[in-house]
Amino acid sequence: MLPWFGPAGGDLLRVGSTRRGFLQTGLKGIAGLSLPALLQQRALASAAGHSPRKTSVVLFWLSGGPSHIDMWDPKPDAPREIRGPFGDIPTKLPGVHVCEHLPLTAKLMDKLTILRSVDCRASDHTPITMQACNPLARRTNDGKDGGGYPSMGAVAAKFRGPNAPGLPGFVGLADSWKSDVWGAGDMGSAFEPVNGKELSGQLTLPEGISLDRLGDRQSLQENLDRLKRTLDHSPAVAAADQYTHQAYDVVLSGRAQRAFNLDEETPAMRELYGNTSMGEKALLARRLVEAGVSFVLVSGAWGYFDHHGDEVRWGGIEKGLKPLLPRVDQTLNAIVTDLESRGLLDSTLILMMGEFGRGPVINKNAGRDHWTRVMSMVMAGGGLRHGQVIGSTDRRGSDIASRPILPGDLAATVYRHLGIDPASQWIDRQGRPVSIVTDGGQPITELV
Amino acid sequence: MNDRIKVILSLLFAVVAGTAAAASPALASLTKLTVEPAQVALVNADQLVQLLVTAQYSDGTQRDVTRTAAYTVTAPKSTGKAPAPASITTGRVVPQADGTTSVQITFKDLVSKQSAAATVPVQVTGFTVERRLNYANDILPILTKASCNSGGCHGKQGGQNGFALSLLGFDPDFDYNALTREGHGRRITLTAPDQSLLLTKAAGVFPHGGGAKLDLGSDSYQLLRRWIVQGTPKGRTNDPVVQAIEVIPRERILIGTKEQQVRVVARYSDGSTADVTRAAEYKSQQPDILIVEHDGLIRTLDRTGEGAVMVRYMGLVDVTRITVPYSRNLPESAYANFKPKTYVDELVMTKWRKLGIAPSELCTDAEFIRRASLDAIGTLPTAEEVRTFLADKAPDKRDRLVTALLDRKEYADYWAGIWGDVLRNKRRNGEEHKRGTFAFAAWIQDSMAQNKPYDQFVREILTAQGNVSDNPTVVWYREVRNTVHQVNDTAQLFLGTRVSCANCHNHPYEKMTQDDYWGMAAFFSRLGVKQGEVSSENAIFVRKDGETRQPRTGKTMKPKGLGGPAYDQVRGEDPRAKLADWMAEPTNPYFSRALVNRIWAHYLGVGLVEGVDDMRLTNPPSNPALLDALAKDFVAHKFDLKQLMRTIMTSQVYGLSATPNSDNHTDKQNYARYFPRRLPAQALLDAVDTVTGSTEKYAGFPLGTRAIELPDEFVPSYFLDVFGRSKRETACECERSYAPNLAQSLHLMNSPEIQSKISDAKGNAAKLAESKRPNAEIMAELYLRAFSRPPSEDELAESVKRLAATTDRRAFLEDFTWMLVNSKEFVFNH
Repeated sequence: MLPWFGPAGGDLLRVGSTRRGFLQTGLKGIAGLSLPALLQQRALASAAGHSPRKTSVVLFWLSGGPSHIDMWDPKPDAPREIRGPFGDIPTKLPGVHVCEHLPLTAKLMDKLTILRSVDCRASDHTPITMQACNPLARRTNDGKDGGGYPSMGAVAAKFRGPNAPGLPGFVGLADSWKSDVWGAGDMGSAFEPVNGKELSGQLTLPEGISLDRLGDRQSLQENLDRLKRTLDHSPAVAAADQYTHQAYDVVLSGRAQRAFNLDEETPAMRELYGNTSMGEKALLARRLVEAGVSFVLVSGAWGYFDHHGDEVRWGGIEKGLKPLLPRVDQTLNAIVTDLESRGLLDSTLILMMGEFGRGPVINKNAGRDHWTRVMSMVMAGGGLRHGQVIGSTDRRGSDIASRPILPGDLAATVYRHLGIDPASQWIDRQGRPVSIVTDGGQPITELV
Repeated sequence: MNDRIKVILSLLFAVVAGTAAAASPALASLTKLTVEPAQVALVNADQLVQLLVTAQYSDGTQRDVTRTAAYTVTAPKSTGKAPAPASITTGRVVPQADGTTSVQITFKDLVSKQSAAATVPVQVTGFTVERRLNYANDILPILTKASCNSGGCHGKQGGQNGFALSLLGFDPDFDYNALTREGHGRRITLTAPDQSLLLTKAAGVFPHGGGAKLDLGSDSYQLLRRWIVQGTPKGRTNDPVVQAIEVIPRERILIGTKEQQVRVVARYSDGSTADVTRAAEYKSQQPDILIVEHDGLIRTLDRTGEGAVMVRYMGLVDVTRITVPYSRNLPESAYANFKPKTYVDELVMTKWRKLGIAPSELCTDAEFIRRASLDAIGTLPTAEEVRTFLADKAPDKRDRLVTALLDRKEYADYWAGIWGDVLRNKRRNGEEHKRGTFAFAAWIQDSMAQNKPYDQFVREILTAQGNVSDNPTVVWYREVRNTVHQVNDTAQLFLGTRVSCANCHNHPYEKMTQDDYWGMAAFFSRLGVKQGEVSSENAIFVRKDGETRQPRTGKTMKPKGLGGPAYDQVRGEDPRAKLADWMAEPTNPYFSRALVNRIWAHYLGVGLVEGVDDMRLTNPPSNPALLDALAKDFVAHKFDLKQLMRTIMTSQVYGLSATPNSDNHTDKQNYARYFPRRLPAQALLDAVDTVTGSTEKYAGFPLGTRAIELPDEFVPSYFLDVFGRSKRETACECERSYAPNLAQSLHLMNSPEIQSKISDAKGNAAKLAESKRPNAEIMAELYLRAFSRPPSEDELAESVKRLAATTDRRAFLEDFTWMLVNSKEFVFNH
């Protein structure tokens, strides 16, 4: 049993794992374990003496749409119905304040960037638009959601691939797969995210089978699989053979499997990340990045930042959001300080965001409704210039006041970090080339 | 001839001499030199002509020597000072002044030391006249060739950095406007042509995201510049329009050379022609075999096989096929063991001879029963069936087996699933769609069981109307619900061609226009959808009236199949019936070819056209004669599917071994051996059940239901997903995947699901471990079940020895079953 998928004590917000979602999605994404051409190229490059940086991305998905005013863009001078129930506190950066319930964030502010002017008009209650960072990728409810456009993680899987062989490029850690993870669109099933839970299951030996017995079976096969010898010419057979060898390596070496084993972490480390769904997944994300995964998506639970009010499932700002803030605060603090102490902060880009912001005026249920004109988000690591706030909203927090950040700008920044040419294109089902960066997106100059 | 050319020629000769000597023991003699065109007339300073010089040999072979021949231009008869009317390099005639001259061409075969010569008269007129340029004829081809209007650049929807052109220039009016009017006209500076952004960006003088596309001062640059100097004329309405292009040669077998120059001629509406070799674009369809350069020179890589090169000019396409033979003069004995039985065998063998490849031996009877059973009914033969078949001594036993298989219930089950995939019979996740999906699946299954003629099968789907309970085929319109899906799916599924490009612009790889697309759409113009007898279902009805307009031109379109007649819309008639009529016409070039290719690809592993639903001029069949013959036969037999399958399966070609020989091991598309393919997901899961003796339980279906019987994609199964069952999202055959991946290997090797089947207490391993049967019989039984053959002597000896030595018989038999399931011989159909 993997601890991070079990019922975590004390995390009242955990949404029951949707078994149906798993069944429908299957483990199609594990196909992503194939070696993309890029990885082979990189192997060649490193053989030739160039060693490209092993960069990676961890995207924290605050599913439901986190309230920008109550977290990262406080409006202390606005009337109470806008300001909301929380106070604000100064941070390490003079003049920059955040919500009073994010004290660790405040202390860490020199290592973070808050973006307060992210344009999320194309988004909806869906992971599609912002996980793709592409305004053309939208929920359409016609069975063709996303218009075939891939998420950034899938682009990473295709154009960068994993940092180590035998691992997938893109892993999702989410309990509610369909609602919280956007995949490869029409780019190809080989680049679908690998569901972390199912991957770990595939790497463990079935009950009653020891490594010795697997070894016996393997030797039996080598002695008796006659066709393998006569048909080695056929490309189809040869390709299948290659995966068989890789499968032995993956299972017998146990490297990928170890990445999932949180028991190898010290109690102090477990404590640092916290015994919450988001914290445990964050720790696992760090282990996966260390092992060689390029893009990890973390969602604590489905929709739990959707704070419409006390009458609905996830509550309002005071009752719903407030208990979540210490978890956000602790998780962000843990992963940034942990990566830094391991020397991995510069190679790992951390993003924390949801699908949109929340309305500037508290509604009658003590909550805030969806707000797609602007949202805030946090970035850390990735060797970028931090300790700043980019962009601003007006005094009500309702519209972008300065430096609009388009979704495409975020995509271009992420791909730049991953060493992916932003002009790259993939070929859709009609044979048409599609650009990975739309919207004329450019890397965010303040960061790079 | 200058020194550089001499050096190059001598190098080329050396290469040619080397290969010719190695490949051809009996030297053919050089008979003559032919030149295309036989005479050259250039009517203005911009025209060029590419000569094609071909050496003809006594054995009938031809060799392109355009680059290796020597050329001399006769000096002008008048004064010595004037330039010759034309110059020539690499066979390209370039005008220099008005006048007449001739080009002498000589070629010497350095191996045989034989020579041949030819002369081509050249006339140049209008050299000094500055002609009025025409945007579409003169300028647009330059932009296309420099890929300015490609889908990756300004041709994509919305353009690039604010400058949008129509994709590959299919809408010249739009492009002309974009160049000359948009952006406040700053793309063109009439007063200072060299300052025009069109030139400065294209030449990379100003920063340009796409880089420098034209050399400063190149012919293309000069032409663009002259067009600006002339005031960017669009051209007169009565200027000639290009109507067709032709590539010469259309087909060539490369012997004794590694290159082939092509020549492309455009024909215009006024009857004139022009050489557009340099302005046309080229694309190799098999870049691993052929590469093609900008000027139409095709080179072979050091690989044998066949390839096609697509030529495109002004939205028109043509294709040339190049064959690099595997070997020459294969001895007749290489074909001695192959006895053609049907026209299929004859036509495939003709192709082998042309290519210089030879067939493998016939497969064994055990291989045949396994192969035929898996291909026709998706089911492994039982041990008993194998024994009976092997014991049968009658010479026609393979033919009888084929007939018997096609009459099995599993035939209908298996093919219902295959058709259900491409007909997109999809439940999604709604219980509310279950009734319709099951009804449609049952209808397909029944159609297969009664061997409904294929034209009728398609007609009943296309013309569906009413409710699900009257007519289950209305379910097709549930996924295929708007005009665009209807046109795309109809074309892809029933005509074997993908038309979706032409929805918005002319097709870049086929002579198919937006009008063709919307003519197809008009067949569906009267289709109506309303709520059905059950609230969650739709019913289909046909309106009395209804028309379709072409969205770009606004023109009302008559219903018209691709290249077919245009039908008048008659009030009260369902135009879809006309569509079905047109398809079933014996002369329809798409319908029967698409189907026979689909079925051929199913049985032989590789389509005659690969990408079975991507048949187009630029993706030609590997054996056109065979495709035509199968299609004709299919029509003659009134679209009888089983008859077609029988024809294919009873051919000697289908019965060849999968083991390659030295005369065919590099070939991948000519059926000189059987191409092994992984079992499809459903057949594989059923086969695993058969070998392990366990039974997979599918949610909502009684225990014992097999994977090939499942009606739709919704039934949850990790195994079926990971082994690539179709999600039924598209009409593409390609959605069913045979590609291997790590997850499949992990699943077979290391999953609790497979382990529990192997160790099932009621399974085969457990039963055989407890049985009192002799060890040899136990092992033979396992081999027959999994591989449909008895074990070889050494396999039997080895496995019996191991079984006898073990202390835990059941564990050993489980491990042995694991070995069978994880072996290539099991996972592949071969």
